[in-house]
Amino acid sequence: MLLLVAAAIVAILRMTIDRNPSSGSISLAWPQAEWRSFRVTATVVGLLVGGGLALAGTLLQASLRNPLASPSVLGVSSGAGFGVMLALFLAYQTGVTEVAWGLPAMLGAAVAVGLVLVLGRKDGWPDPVSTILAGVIIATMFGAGMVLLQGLVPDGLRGRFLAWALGTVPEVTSTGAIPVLAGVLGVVCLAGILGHGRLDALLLDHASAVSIGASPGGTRLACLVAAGTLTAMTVAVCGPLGFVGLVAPHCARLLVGPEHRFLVPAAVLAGAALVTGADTLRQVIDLGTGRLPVGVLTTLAGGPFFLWMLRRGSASAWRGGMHASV
Amino acid sequence: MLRCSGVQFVRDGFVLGPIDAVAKAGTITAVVGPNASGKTTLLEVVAGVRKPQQGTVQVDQLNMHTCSSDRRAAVMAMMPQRPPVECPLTVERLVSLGRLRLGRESVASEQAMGALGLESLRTRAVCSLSVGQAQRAHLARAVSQSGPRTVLVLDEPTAPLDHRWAEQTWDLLRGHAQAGGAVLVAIHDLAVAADRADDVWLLQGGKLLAAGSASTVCEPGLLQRAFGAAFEWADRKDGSRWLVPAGADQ
Repeated sequence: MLLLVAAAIVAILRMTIDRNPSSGSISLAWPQAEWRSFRVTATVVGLLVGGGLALAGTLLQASLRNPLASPSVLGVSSGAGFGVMLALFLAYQTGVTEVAWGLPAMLGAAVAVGLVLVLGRKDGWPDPVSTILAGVIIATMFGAGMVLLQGLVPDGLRGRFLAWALGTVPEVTSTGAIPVLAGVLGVVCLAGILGHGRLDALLLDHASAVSIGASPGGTRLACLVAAGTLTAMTVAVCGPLGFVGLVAPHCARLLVGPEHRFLVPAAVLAGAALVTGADTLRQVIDLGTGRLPVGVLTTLAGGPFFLWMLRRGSASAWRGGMHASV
Repeated sequence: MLRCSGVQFVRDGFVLGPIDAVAKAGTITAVVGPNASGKTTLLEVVAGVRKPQQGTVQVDQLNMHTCSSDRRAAVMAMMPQRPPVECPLTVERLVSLGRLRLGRESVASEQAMGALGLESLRTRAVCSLSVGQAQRAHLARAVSQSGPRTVLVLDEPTAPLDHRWAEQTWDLLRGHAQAGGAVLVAIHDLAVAADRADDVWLLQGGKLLAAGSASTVCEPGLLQRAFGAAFEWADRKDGSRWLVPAGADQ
């Protein structure tokens, strides 16, 4: 929590880098009054988007019993992104000037979740390995679809596509985006904390979860819907931010353990701190010009983390190296 | 008492049943049969994991496939074959999940962990344990869920356990039966089934070949028909009898 508050304060501050080669120091200052609201908006969006993606990742990892599951790995982010790009492309073709991004993002995410569920199923239940493989293929296909659409629109719109597709925390958002995202995040987080026992039960096999009365089928479906909704909303606001939903839950798991009564709030805080911190780092790296999308940083950091976990195997990944194997 | 009435389940061309059999309270009933005879499928149908296309499974008149999940959890606890060893929860949390819908009764969880020697492992993640230790943790979860009159449904509970913990497990199951509960356990080892169980259900190709007392069902002719292999009863020095493959050294 302290880390989160610190990250938020630093994110709101204006970063300046002394370009003198002899010192090269970074200095912080409050932004001028006319810029302050932009930094506050970006910080709030970063906190909500990071928390939302982390919570989506936590729910996906529990519902699929797979520590490698996350919105980006399973193609949910790409699906939502493709939905938005398709809507923009169709709007361009038909001459419509204003497009709401939320609904197409939701539809794209829903298609991706549905495909992963169907293709990753084995003997009626989601298979951890098949699910990841299906997700990677679906993410690649939707990614290719986005590239295709980029080539079909004029230069001006293409630049907007590209900046959004790489993930950017905006300093201006559409009216209602922040309250809606905050509301959905709050409801899902509260439901996750109150239903922590059912989420813990998803980590058992299906038969054991049925035996203890946890109704795993309904819980799993609710998790997938909630994760898809959160992902779609964050993608509509920021574009796809790679690996936040994978890294943040594992960081939280290392700190508070695997029980969802602690993990759900901790993952939300970790994701919020991660995206806000990454956006702050972006300010430093791109010298305040705003040309570097924050999604590049989260992907550069998260990609190796994913490969490291893949190499360690799922059992080690779950416990994050906290215990030695027997 | 657990009663299967005309239970039939079909999947991927495999037909289980119809099964008509009873597992009485106060007894241990073993489900035996060759590979792919339907033992695991039957236990999953009995425990409500799979819904039969025909027939009913009842525990004391309560239909396992139409009652609420809470009520089912209160009268029946199941441990499947090969429960996940990659579960990240601690042993303590896993065992306490047995009481998820039954109210917090830490005494039951503590007793289950104590009976299966898990006290010193309580804070360890299940995925950091050996296969046998993880099996004991999952078994303790099922035991913590069970009350005096409940039905315990266990699929190969002792397969990965060493001799000491296998014996301990059978003693635990006998204690549950003596307290008025019923135990339905799938097992491959015919000798152990004949020795430890009161009743036996013999499956072959999804059909119930025989059901009755262990001494009746574990009859060499029936076993020859089911397994395609010869068995015989051998006398031990203490006067008891032991089922062995025909021609084996005693």
